[in-house]
Amino acid sequence: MDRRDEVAFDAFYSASWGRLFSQAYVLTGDRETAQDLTQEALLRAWRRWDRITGYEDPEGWTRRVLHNLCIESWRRSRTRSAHRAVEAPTTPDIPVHHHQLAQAMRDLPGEQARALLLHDGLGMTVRETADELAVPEGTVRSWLSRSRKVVAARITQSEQSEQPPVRRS
Amino acid sequence: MPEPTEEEIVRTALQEMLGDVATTRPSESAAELRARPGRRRVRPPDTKLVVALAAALILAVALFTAGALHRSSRQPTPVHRIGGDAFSMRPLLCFAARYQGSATDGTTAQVLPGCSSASSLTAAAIGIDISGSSGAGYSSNLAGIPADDSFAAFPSTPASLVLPTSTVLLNGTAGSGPDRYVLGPAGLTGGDVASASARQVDGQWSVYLVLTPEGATRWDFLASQQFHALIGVVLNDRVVSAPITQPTQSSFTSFDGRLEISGSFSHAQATAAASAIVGSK
Repeated sequence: MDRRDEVAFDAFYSASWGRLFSQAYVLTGDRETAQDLTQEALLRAWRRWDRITGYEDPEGWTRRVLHNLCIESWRRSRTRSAHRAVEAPTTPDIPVHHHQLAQAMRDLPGEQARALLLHDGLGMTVRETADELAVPEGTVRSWLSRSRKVVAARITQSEQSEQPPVRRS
Repeated sequence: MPEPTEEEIVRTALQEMLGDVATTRPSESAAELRARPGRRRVRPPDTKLVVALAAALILAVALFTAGALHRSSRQPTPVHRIGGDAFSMRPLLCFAARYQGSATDGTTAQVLPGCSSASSLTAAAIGIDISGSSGAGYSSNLAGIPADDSFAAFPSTPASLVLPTSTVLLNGTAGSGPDRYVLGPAGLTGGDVASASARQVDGQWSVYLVLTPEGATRWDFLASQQFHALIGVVLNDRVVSAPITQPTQSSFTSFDGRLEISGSFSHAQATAAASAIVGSK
């Protein structure tokens, strides 16, 4: 393997890790899952590094993979919840407001959560968001306004009451 | 001061959360990641195809587990009686075939045979594996363990004979599939429960129990014997849930008198189960 590839990848890894991890954290609400998925996305980037390194934006490629992994993990955890478990009660080691925002994101359709994170979280334009999600700009605008309503209602509601809102089923 | 708009609320919350963890450091260095086993460029760089395949795989796994795990994940039936219910938690020994005989269930007491070794739900047979990646928690062989057919000749144990000291053969709840359950003597009964309530954790409803001091000791004994194996939650003559003990942990730890039966309960199911447990003796 080319030594220059390794150096370039390592620099990319340290530069992008925190940004990618924090996005996975917003989408999963769990540090450990976010760590695992960030590593998985970066591993995939490394395995096809010679292709990606030629792209304009290797981080964009990795981010798309990561966001998809996060959204797949929602489906997995919904399937997993068919198992019952008996365990000592746990208190999530993350702040309540993080938990509530992640929960609200997870209740959105996956594409809408991605749009919200890209536009409102990362400050991308509607055009850039539309390009990344491969949908028309009008769709992004309508997703954004719909999902903001839902998320804003959830997080302001939970500020007023201690009880987290009931999950729609 | 004007009310913030929805966009401002969401933007602020997202950017704060991103910023709060942006300085987290990876637990693995780039060199360690590169050194992981596996080939480079094993798949074409077509994310749509990868995503479609992954989605198909997840769907297949979901269908498989949903079907196969059905019998271990019971929906509790809402219980309307407030008092007089009999509650117990028992080791789940094996799944049993549906009754094929003609006698009405439970007209006579019968001595039950033991579970066959192929059907026994020991921790070794269930084989909980917590080494999986991507935070999936755990995997197991539970889906591959068959129900014991020899119980087809035995009617289910009637409610009047679901005694704390006996081994019992019980049905699940409506809609929980054809299998029944063989359970050992009770390790915990209603008198060991100080309080029961429905609680929401990570968006999932669960039943939260606080035990009496004696109950806490009994529960730790049952749960350590059934570590990585199943415990049946029995209300009257039905198994309302059959959870796995501490499936995401590598070794048993004391519950300190508090336990949480988590899974796919709805709010109503969790509340009904909690009120039945609390009203039981």
